[in-house]
Amino acid sequence: MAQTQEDKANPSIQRLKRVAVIGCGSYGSQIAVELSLSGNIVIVIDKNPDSFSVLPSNLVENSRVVTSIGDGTKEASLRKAGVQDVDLFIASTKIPSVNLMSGQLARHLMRIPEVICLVNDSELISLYDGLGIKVINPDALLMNVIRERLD
Amino acid sequence: MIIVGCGSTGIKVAEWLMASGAEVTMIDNDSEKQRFVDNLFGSIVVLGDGTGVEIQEKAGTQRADLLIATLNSDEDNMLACQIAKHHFNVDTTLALSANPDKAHLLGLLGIDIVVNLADLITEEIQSLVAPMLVEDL
Repeated sequence: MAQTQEDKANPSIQRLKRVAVIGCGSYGSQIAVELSLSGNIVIVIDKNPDSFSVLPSNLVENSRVVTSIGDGTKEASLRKAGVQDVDLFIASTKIPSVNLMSGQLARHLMRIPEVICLVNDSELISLYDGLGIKVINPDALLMNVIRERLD
Repeated sequence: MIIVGCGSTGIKVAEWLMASGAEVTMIDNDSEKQRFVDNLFGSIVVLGDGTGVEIQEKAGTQRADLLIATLNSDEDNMLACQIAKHHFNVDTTLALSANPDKAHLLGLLGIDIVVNLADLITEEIQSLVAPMLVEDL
């Protein structure tokens, strides 16, 4: 009973956040592991089942990272993986257009509250911000590091 | 400044550095990439293996203040940076690293800046959505 009351008092702390990551490549796999280690439940979706082999087996066995084979640009694949219930959706494949399509599918058709896409083009940040999608440009992050060191 | 590797990240960095007034030379062993980049920026690519002393010398590494290694392999980036640092006395070396464990090792091996892009992306994600993610259990 005490537990229930606490839940009501502080709902945001009691529930683990659920995150979907599209693409289990070098970015997606590391993002999935780090978000899982910081206490979130992570679903990773990739077309290629072999890509999941880079995920640490203990996280997969404990279902802290759940894998699902599928195409991130198809609603059926996303629903099969349970993406409709996530709080945060991250599209991290190598292909910017795929990330943006997948991200908009998640944001506008599945009503995921927070959607982030990796896109190597800072020009698109404001365009997609207007469409409810946050864009991260990995190259720009590298450039920030270089700038900081050169100044 | 020397950039080893004419992949998309290397090209972006070269473009930014040149726009900020730096003199940039790139190294890549793929002649198609060399042609592509030379068409973009004028003749700035030295064809060859950036993890070799000879090619780095041909690219003018001995006069460079900064070498950035953007090859796909962490090991190749380590080698390119160590040659620059210890053979040509380049002031600052930066290596991209795709693997978090190796990124730590590269730091221990004296590479000045080791960048794991996935790490930076995760930090950025966490700062974008900080209030809603579980931080500590």
